[in-house]
Amino acid sequence: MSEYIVMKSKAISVYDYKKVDISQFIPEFKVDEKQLEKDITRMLSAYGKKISAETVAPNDQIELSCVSENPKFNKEKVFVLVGKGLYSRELEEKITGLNRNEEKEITVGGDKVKVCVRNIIHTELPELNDENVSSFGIEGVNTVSDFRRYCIDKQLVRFLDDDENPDMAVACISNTVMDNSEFQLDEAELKAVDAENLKRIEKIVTEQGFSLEDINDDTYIESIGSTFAEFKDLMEKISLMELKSAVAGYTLLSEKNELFTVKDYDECIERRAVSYGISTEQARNEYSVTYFAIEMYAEYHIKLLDDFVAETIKRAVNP
Amino acid sequence: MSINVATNENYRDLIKDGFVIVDYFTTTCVPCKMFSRVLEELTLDYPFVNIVKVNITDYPAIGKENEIDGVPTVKFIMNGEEKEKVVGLMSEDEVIEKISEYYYA
Repeated sequence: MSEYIVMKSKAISVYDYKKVDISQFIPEFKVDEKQLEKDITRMLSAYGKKISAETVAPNDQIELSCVSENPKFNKEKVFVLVGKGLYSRELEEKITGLNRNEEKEITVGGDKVKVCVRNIIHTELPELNDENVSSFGIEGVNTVSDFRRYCIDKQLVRFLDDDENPDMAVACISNTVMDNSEFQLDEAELKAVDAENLKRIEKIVTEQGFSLEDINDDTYIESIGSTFAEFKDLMEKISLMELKSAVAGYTLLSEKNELFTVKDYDECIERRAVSYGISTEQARNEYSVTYFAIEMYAEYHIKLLDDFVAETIKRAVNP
Repeated sequence: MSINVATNENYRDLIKDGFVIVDYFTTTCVPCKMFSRVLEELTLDYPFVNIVKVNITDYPAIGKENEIDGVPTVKFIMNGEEKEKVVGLMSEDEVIEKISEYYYA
């Protein structure tokens, strides 16, 4: 068993993130029945039986060869989803009813196009019943009712993707946890986040056309919308938050005995060395085990909050 | 549509033939996860498009070589030729528009 990576910063107490009230961030969600029917058909199509067909029909996937003076319709091999209108609605209408290997000259938008249907794949939609649904192999989905639930959940996930409430809820929990927890931060770990912070500041400032030498605290950075001093202040707060978040994540993982190990770090270093084309020694110098631990434990903590918020909102808006 | 995960070794092979959508992402980026879901949905409808996913945290050299400054970044590639690079989250309809624009050009 590889040695655990231990953080030197300590949490005297970590506020329980599950106690934070996020009811104000629960959005209103109503199932879009029309969209649900579309999603169900789409899923059925994905699990449908693909059969080779003889005649082109709407919704078939066909392989076509076209000869034309218009380059768009001069293709040796092109896949077309009939009726979607992605290639050409007019062409797709005119090839409907053609047989496999049948050649025909058609006119599309004034261009003569000689088409030949090389292959036709038709999808046979399975009947929506418990037996078929169970055969799809979707985890926890064994009945038509489960399947509808699964499709509604997908709709809900899409809805939440576009909604700002989950992000606001995570920020609220994170701030509450940090404000109500007590930490003893280690000097070396603070230095590690400061060093990374400086790198980030330099990168962002350079991208905005400045250099650290010719910028001062009063310089206004228009694209960021603040002075350099305000920007540095914000970045320092983010770094401090990252370290505290790491300590919180480390504390929770310690309780479960699931800490990151030296082997995890070594593997990460190997990957970085190969990717950057540098020696492992150089990779270790550029990415210290101290900062690796901070990043990994902070990432774990944020994921924990993300998952908690997603589950809480999902339960609350459960249609 | 198939989804392939790129490494330093297979990246070039994965993008050289046919129409390819390359998704450069990191695991900690929330919009990347959203875009990943968009691509998964698209796999149900467009079997002839190949998707290549590049985790630029694990493979920073690919990110550097392709000048990826932010994630998600999406590249539309036809037979090895880069057609367009889009930085930021794209909707399903926007990706479909690009498939129509470049695959059927």
